[in-house]
Amino acid sequence: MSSSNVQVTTLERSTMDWLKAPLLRVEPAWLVQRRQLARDYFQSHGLPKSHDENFRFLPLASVTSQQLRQAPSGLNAPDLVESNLECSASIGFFDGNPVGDVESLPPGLKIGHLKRILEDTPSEIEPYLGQLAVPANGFAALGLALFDDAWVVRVRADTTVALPLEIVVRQKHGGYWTFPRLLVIMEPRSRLTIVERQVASEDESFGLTTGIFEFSIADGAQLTHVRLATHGIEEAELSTAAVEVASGGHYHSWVGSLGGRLTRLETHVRLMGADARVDLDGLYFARNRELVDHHTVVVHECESTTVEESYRGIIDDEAQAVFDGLIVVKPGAQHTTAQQYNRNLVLSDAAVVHSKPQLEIEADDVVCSHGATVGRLDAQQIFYLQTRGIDTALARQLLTSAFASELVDRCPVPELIPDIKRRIASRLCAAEELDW
Amino acid sequence: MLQIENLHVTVDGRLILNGINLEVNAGEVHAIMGPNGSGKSTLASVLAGRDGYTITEGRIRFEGEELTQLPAEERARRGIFLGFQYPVELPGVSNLYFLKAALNAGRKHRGLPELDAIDFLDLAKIKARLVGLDENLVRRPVNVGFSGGEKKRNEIFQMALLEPKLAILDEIDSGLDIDALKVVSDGVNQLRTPKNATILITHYQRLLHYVVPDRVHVLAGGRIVRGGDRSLAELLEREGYASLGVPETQPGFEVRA
Repeated sequence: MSSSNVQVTTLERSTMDWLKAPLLRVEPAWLVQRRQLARDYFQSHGLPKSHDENFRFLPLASVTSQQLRQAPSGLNAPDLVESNLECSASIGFFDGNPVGDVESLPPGLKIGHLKRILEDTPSEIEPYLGQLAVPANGFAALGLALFDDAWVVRVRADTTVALPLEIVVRQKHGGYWTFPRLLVIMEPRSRLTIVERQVASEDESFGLTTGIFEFSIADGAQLTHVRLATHGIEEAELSTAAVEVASGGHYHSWVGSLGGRLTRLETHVRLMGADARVDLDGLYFARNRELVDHHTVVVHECESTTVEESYRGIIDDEAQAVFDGLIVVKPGAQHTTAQQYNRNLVLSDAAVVHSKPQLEIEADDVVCSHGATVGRLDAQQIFYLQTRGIDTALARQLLTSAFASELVDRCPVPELIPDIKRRIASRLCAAEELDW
Repeated sequence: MLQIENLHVTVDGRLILNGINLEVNAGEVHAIMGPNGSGKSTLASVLAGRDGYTITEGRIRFEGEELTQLPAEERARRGIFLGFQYPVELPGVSNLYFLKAALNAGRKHRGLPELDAIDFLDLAKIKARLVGLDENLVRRPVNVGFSGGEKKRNEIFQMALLEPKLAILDEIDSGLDIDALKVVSDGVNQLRTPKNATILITHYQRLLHYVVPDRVHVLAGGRIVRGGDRSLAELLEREGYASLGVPETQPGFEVRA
């Protein structure tokens, strides 16, 4: 924001006072330095502008024109949400603050507050915090500069945590810009499933969530990460998950973006060792004037690594969707397998889709394929259903939910599927009879 | 049951049906034969209510009611069924779920209570056996990965479930080997009652060995040029369309949707 000829947005102006405050906390020098770099980044770059290549297709004005407050830290937060999911632990972020009960955890699963770990054993997290997710835009930079506390999860070597760890992220009434932060360290051959749910505030007023999730996956470890973004109609999220996968490790991300004024989810994965693998599944359904934007970056740093990526989107009304998927195969990363597909189903004339699959291959012995489609419902299929007595409205609902079903069925936590299906049916304005 | 009077239909401004007259009564099976491009499939599509066809003249009445303004689903609910020459694949839509919705749409129209999932499943099993459709296929997405014969059998299965008053089977015999043809024909025969009617649209008379029609009509150049009983079909088999002065193909005349 140093450049005087660039207009400062209302949202940027909101943050000026926050950044004036000195770094009072007693934190390790490495963290102070990382925060300072993030501040410097934000103060020189501000929030992304429309000419920024990574934000070219995402109109940010509906977010940056808002005034927001910084959430007070360390509240005695109440229980987050009622949950039917059987889980190993249920934690979360309430107005950005880490909350939840971690008293009785299964063996091998450790969950603690970052503040406490910084006091006791900061060297445990020094290699990861703010290092896996190096801020690449103003949102993430501010997240690192300003976050108060975070959750740190560690799964001990050779531990399989049977039930999912649930993480619920919520603002009570909106009005804040919050920076929930999570660091997960998967030791060798450990296994964990995370169910992250971004849920609507009570009154669904405008609020902005910038989540920064960092995952370190050691040799042979497996992390499954379900992200369900079901925001209120006025809420916005611009979040980043950054992952490093070591040899033989596996990260499986399943993303469902099913509501919110603006949802931008970035996933950055680096495959660091042989036989590391990542699966990226995504399903988005935007309607009204919603904006959804999925950016994925997968970097093959090492030979014999695999990515399989499939994102599907449904775009209705005046909604806009962006898919930007970059796969980079570094020199020497031979025997890489990379597949990337993005399919979009457009339900209205005013809906807009930008699909941008990209491969950057610097090795010569690789198997890579990618493809993107943007299409409409098939008139033949609709007619076929009509000739059986099904009206066009139900035919469209059936065919649209069928389009989504392949991704829905791939959700790695089957207990979530009925809820996901209900949400999709409700986005289709379908009657109860749509029990697919 | 069905009266077609002086039906003229254009597609993209081109005249495809040029004055069709046809009356079909309950209990009857009619065969409409004709060379490629004669307008057979257009007639089937127009009866079922497909978009893209303009009726410039004439009328279609079904049980005394004018059909031409009704959307396809309304015709289906009144008891008209179209068996497709090329059944459409519906990835992700299960046969069972889609047929339950279809059956209940028709029942609702007739003022009957809707069937729940359990009653529907029982009925579907019975009908699948009747037409010899593998029960696993019943649960799969509609026509996805089905062989040609399985797709046609699935059409007959749907017809068995929906119990239409008037079934229009468009080239239901195309692409079937002799065993599959027998199975499909058996299905059609079993579903014949004094109350319903069937229109078989076919190029070849082979099907008519198995499903014996009451009336045979020869369509050429968008109009019915000859009518008769089953012996007309036998004549065509022996001597070909040329014996009626009709060329075997009429390329470019019919436009398929």
